[in-house]
Amino acid sequence: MKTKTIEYNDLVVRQFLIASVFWALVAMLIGVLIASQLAFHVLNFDTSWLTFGRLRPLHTNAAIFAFVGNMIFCGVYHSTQRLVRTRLASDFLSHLHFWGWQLIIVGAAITLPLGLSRGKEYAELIWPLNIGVVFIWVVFAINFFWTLAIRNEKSLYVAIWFYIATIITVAMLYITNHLQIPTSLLHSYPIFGGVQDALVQWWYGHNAVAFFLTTPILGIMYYYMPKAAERPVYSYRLSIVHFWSLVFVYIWAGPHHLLNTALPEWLQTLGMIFSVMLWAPSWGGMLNGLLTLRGAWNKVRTDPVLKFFAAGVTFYGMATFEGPLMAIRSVNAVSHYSDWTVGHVHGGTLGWNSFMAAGMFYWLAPRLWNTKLFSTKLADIHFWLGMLGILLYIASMWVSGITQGLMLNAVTPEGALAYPNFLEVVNSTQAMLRMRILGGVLFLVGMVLMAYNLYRTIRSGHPAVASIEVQVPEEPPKESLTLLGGFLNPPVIYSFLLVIFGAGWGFAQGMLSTISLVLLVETALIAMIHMGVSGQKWSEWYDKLLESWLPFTVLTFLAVAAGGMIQILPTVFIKQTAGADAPLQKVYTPLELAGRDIYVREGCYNCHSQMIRSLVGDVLRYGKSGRLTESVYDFPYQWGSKRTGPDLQRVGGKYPNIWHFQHMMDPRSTSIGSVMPNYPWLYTQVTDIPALSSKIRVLTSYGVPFPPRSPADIRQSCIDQGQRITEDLASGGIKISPDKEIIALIAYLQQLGKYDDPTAAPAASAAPDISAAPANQKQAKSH
Amino acid sequence: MFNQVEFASWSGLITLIAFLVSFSVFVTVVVGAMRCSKQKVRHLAEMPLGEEKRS
Repeated sequence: MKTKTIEYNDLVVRQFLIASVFWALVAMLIGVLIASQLAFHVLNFDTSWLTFGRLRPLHTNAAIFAFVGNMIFCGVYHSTQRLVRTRLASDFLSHLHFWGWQLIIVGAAITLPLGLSRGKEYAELIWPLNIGVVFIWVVFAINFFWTLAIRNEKSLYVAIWFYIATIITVAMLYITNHLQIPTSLLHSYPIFGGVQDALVQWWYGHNAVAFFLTTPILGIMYYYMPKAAERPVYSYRLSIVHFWSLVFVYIWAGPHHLLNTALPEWLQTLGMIFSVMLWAPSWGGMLNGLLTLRGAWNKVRTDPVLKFFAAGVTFYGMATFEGPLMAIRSVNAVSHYSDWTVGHVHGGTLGWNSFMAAGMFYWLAPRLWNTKLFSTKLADIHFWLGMLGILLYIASMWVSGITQGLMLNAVTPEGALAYPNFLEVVNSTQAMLRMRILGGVLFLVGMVLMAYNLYRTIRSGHPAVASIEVQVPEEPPKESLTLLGGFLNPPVIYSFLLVIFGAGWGFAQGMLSTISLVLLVETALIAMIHMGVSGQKWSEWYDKLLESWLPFTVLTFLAVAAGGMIQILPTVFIKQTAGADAPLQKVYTPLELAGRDIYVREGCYNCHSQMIRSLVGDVLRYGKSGRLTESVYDFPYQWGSKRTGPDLQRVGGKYPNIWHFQHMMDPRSTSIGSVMPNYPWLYTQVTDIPALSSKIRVLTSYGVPFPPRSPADIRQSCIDQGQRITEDLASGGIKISPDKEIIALIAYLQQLGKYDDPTAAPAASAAPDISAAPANQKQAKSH
Repeated sequence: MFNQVEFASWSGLITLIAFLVSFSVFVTVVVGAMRCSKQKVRHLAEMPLGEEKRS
């Protein structure tokens, strides 16, 4: 053995800390602005790049990937070096990671307000940036795993497990949900459409919350809470159970974002059950975090770090109680598409992510700059402002969301809608929307105080050089398990055979079932005798696994991939056009396709859904519930997740062209009390017809049956359809050129809910058929 | 992409088998965690508490 001094690379840790604080302020400032826009529509300023639909994706992406992303990298790089007692493997990769990630964020900050969007929530960035994200994530992964490979500590602490799960699962989710074919340098279509796209999107969206906003923060909790409390985690065994439970359960719960929709029923049930199962591991983890403070509760009163951690973990418990509750189908009928979801999400991001970040930053900054925190008092004020802000925010969104859900679903004893005018619901929640702004402002002020406090702390110190002395063997130690040895060993092989024979016994018929039972018993006996004679213990494999990062990583990947694939594959292979009783979506004309891309560009999906649920309130208000076959040509799908405005799935033909024309110019002129922005630029900007050839070619390659057309035919088709709309508008005294974007958007909106078979086309709200609800479920069952 | 094989009853079976496999591996590792020696658990739990030199 020889003694070696290890000097940690804390430069990159300091860089990520500063970047995280900066982007937090940006994300939350935009958050306050867009919250204000929902209460005061004039704050959209009639300016394209300042409208809600374009800024909301910027807010979510900045909060998730810029603020929390940088915070994760800061915590992971700092704690991993200490836990494995070695310096980060590569200074170059660390630099590349930091600057590459900031470049992507700047790219997003420029492109999203310009309307360059893929139209999928939390996955809006355009394809060149997607490639950048994957590249930088791979750089992160190489740097991290390389560091594990050269570590000077044999065991892997549970925080490292959470980091491993984060890295591999986010890579899998991100790549799958961003499979796409470009139509130009700045535009692409996802390869999945309709229900497939919806499922892949929410498999990604849900697990982005799980594996980007939760598991890495749990790793950070398991490292920094013991550190700050100066005592080990309450139960290390419980942390192991917490980890494996989350990994095995979380990945299955994605379909709860699509309850009561056209998604097959078995998937909805799967999502709901696994969501409810999440209660146990989440609360186990929360209690483990809180109980780590045993004997240190007096410090919580005076130490802002512990104060933030204790509150952050409590919010984790709250959010993870609320999430499964909202995933129960009957609760979801009220909460979905409403402000309740917004309140839930912010309980997690503000309460859990931001408070954990604040606790970590207040703990780290004095140590990274070798000084003391500038002001504990200021940190305390930050805490109470933040706490008050969160409570105002989520309480107002609960009230608003439950009000919306109840009013929109309310039916009179005669069977009619109790509140038929959607705007009545919008206006009833205005006071809550204003209270939400106050909550957001308070939270933002708290974050500004934190930024100032950290700035003064950094100014008062200097970058610290941290080091440790470690005893290292002359020869580099070997991993306890090789990749192959991790899986080809008696305990794993016997366990695998037992599961296979058990499944055969349970599910096979006749003789096969009997043979499986015999083999099951025989395998169990052989395993016991073999292990007994050879003196091997079943736990040996597990003990070695915990010291071997590569087999461990592969096992974690298999666990998350299995759950994901089971949800995704059956739906990818489904024949969506198979429903004999269901109308098939009409193929878009070139002008309608152009209009759809404008709809996506303006982020209309942020406020309007295109999925009528199989609920009485929905069917009465919007018409027959949505079917799988009605969005097969939608790349990307546009079912939405929030109804600030009404559902648009069957809006086609409901209003005349002139109504849409006036509505987009000034929504208040047709809908008194609307909070929708004005879209004046649609009346001056020209539709991008030349881009359509490439777009249609890509969609045709996906199987959309566009009739063969030359670029000249496409142009002519657009002009012809545009002229029909402008002639109709002219009869109402409006003169406009057919090549303007508003005409394309009207063409798109007017075809929503149109089908190839007119006899099967469901009527709009004029003649609702409530029987559609069970019919839809029957269709799903019949699959 | 959307015009492929028809969805059939096997999907339900696969869900159950996948769940069983996942659950079995989960139970295995949890039992392993419960049987972990006290000495090992103490060593792991105290890993974050190591000190470092700063200058």
